[in-house]
Amino acid sequence: MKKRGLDSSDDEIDRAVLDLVQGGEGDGSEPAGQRPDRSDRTADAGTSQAAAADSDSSDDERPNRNTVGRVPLEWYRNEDHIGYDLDANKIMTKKKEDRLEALLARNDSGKALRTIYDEYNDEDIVLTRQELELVQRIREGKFPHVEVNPFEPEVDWFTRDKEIHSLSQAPEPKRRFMPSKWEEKKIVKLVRALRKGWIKTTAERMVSHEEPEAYLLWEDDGLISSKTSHGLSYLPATKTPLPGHAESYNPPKEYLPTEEEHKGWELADEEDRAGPLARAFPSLRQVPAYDRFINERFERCLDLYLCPRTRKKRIFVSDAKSLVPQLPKPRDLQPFPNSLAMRYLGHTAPVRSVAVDASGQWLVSGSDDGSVRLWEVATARCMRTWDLGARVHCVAWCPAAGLRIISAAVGKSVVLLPAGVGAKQEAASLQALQAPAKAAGGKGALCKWQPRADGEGLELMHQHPVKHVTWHARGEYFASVAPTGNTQAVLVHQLSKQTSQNPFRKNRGRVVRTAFHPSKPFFFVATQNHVRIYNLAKQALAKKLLAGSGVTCLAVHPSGDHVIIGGEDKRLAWFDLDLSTKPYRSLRYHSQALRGVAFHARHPLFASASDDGAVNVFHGMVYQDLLTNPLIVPVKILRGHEIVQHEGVLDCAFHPSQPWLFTAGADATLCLFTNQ
Amino acid sequence: MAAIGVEDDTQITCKLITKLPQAYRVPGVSVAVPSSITRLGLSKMINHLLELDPVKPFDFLINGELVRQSLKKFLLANTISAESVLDIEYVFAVEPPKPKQQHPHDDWVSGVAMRADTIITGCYDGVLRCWQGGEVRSTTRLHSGPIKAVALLPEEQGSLVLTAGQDHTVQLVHAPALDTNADATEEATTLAVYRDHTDAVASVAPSPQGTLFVSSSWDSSLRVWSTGASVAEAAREAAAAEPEAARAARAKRRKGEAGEAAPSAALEQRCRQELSGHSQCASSVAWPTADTIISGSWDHSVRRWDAETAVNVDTFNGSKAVYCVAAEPEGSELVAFGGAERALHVWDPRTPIGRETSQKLYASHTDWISAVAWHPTSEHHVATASYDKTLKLWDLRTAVPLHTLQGHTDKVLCVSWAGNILVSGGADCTVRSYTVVM
Repeated sequence: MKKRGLDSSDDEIDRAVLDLVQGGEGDGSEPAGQRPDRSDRTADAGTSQAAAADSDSSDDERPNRNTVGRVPLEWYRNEDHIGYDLDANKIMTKKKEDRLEALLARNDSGKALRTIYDEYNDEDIVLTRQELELVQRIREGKFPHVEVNPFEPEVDWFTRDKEIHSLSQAPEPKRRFMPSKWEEKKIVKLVRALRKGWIKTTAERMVSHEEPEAYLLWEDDGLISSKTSHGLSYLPATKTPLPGHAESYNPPKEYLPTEEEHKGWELADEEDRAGPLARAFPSLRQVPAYDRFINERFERCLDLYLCPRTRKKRIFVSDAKSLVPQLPKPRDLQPFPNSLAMRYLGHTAPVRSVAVDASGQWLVSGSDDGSVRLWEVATARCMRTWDLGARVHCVAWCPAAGLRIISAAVGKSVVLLPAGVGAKQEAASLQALQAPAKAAGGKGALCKWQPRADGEGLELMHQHPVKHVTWHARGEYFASVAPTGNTQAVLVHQLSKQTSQNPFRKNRGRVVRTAFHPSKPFFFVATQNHVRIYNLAKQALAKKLLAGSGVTCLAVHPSGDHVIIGGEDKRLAWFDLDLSTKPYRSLRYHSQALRGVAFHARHPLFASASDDGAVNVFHGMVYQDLLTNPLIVPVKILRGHEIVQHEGVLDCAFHPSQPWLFTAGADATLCLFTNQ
Repeated sequence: MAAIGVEDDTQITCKLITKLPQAYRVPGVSVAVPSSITRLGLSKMINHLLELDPVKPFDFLINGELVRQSLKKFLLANTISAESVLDIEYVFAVEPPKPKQQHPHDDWVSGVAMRADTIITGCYDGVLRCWQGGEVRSTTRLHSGPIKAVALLPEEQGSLVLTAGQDHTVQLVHAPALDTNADATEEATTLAVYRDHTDAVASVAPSPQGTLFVSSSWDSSLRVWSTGASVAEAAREAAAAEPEAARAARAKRRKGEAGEAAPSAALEQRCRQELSGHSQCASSVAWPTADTIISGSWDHSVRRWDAETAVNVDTFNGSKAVYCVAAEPEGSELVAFGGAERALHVWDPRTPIGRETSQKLYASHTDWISAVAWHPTSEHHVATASYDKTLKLWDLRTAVPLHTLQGHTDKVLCVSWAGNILVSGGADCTVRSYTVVM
């Protein structure tokens, strides 16, 4: 850049100002590149770029000397000062040069043409070359700043061409493809309001606006039960008797008093008079006003006010027994187990589970002493004992015909044992329990099928402690329950293929029991508060029963239409699956938590075992026609077990054909109750 | 009532009659006895009249019913007039049975049979034992499971025993101990195995001739099979014809298969006839006369079958499971049965069901009746075994048991007669025998 002398630059500026004043013919490009020297200014603008950058800011504006503000300056015209400075001292008006001197000075000074008088501050300002340029550019209608290019090449950010990648690299947020929760809440609110009639559709509003043409004038006369807006029920006043013939203005002659009656009436005390005397008038027009009207009204008001009116709310029942529903007598509902016939002794710890085989010949029991025992039902002989080493929580028979396989839930495994009673069953059962050709299941498998380490049978090693085993009626599938297994709480196993599967990806709540429907492809899963019924064919939830709290046991009626559930809330709930999700009957007969419930396969009987040491036997008749509700009659309380450490009867099972009940107790015995 | 007139010091005129031999007959005159007299008094009177030296007790029957209380009470209870002459029949009283012998076993005794001096017992360990004079003559392991019943074939068929096992088989066993000529210490041998049952066999009963037998099983069927000397002979011939090597191979194979002691070359027998009708376990069966089979079942029914045609002739439906049946051997067709209740039932199939006379109850046991055995010669006497650890001896002409035999310390499971000797076995692993003098 070329450095110029002070004077030469001033000359140039003057010329430019002249151009400006004379019409702006001057060449604008030449001074644009020149660097001005602003000797009369305190601030140096620096480079031209810096000047461009500073042009927006107000830093380059001169600070005002005067502080009077925006007041008309005429106010100070006749004063000796023009205002005040920051220190509140008067700024005195410059001494005016006379015109001649001013003209001379103007002609002498090279800067005269670019000097402006600032009236506010009362000083002369010499415009810089840059400021002149700015003024010139504004006059020409250009951008005030030199470096602003109005025709910059356009960057096409948003085109109509579709790009593969989004402009922002942020992943698509989840809310874009999730239904909005708030919208849903709002919709639910609206739906509820619509259902309850809080808001009305247009059609409804049209209907409701239609005024009835005629309405009953005395509609609320007879309403006794309707409540007032205060919430009190309205009791209408007793009605006054209607006037009779005697009160007529022209009564029949027999109603008219005789002379004596008239006299008697007049002589009588006012209190004793029985109503006004009958009088006859020839026409209604001549009937005078009733003189006692006000008195009678007043007395009636007093009567109503002083006489308390209440409604009887209690029902008086002469015979309380008539309120009790008529139930048949237990002796008409025989047979049912009513007396202790036999005890099966041998276990040394509480017996947790008991099961009877399909023929009714064998009984199997599992106990805390780690043993499973096989008993002959008729003689109470222990035929076989398997020592499994851990607590046996549940035993069950495989119901398949021709097989006699006992399944037991022991620790973390389900053990399948051939019962070994008789040659042929033995052979078939053994064949069914042949060890798998290849050890199925690696580390990630649900459970591992392997031959038992000591003796015959198979062992299904689970990953969690197994508490319950239940079989499908055909004996092909069985389900195991491991309550702590979370997503693997329920496993369904197939005996013939020796495979296991997990039917549920997730279980809602802690699964306690499962059961198969006796004939249909339904599966009952009892968690602590609910029983869910799944349709295995459709793979969908069919029904959810509200079972109260703390479900411990479950039994399905042989017809499959009814379920009984026992819980820790001491209740036995009977659910009719055709009716509702709430219990059809809730039976509270036990004083402690229930431990086992059972249906009889043939007789209309069911039983519940409880920690209070009692077993309740009920008659539960289910009728074939769908109109009659089941008949439930408690028939017997059986006591045979002692309570050991707050545990009483731990399980119960009915004999498949006889009306006999087997119970397993915490006192390490099994009892057989029969009908006598 | 008709018994009016029976007072404290009333004399009852009665006539003592009897069917006993001449030596025990009193002159047929009416005597007057006080109404408070009991059978002891009457017995003393007869002993006095006959001047019997060893005093013999008598029992007395009025209208076919045994007198168990004083005459007065009996007449009142049966509403018999005390004014007319009363016919009192007297018979020998059954004296209290005397315990004869006791045989300790290794396991529960579930089947017992006796002939002459030999007792055959079947146990829960599957072993058949032969006892003679209080000693074990032979011990043979026959069944892989418990033996549920044993039955002797009649003497003319030879010394043959049938055993019913829980391993679904019935075996025909030759027991030399029964043969007086043979060496008693010889082991019993299985001659034939009957295998058609599909579940545990509960009981067996041979026909009176001993050529057939019927077995009842938990598979709810009854099956008739041939047995007896002819089958035994065939088995022996087959065994003789079979070469030694084959026999050994067969024995080995069988041992490997079922894990049981191999019956040496036992003949396999097929069932001749199946009697089906029961819906549950046929728990007990009896074959009293050649053409009648009686069976009892857990389905609460007792059925009478025609042995020839295998037709169910008659059915009695009770209310409790039936565990045991016994039929009167001499053809009066009475059936005694007991089961899962405390009373012994006697059913008379000759009267239509529903009549009062068709069924009679004998209640005295305090637990289930597990076995019942009819006396082989007397039509009135029945022995019952019960889970209440007792045996009871009944005369069906009175509702009160004649005697209660205590001795077993656990459930009594089986009872059998041999002449006048009563044998019983039970869950206390003993067999006890009693002598009954009639």
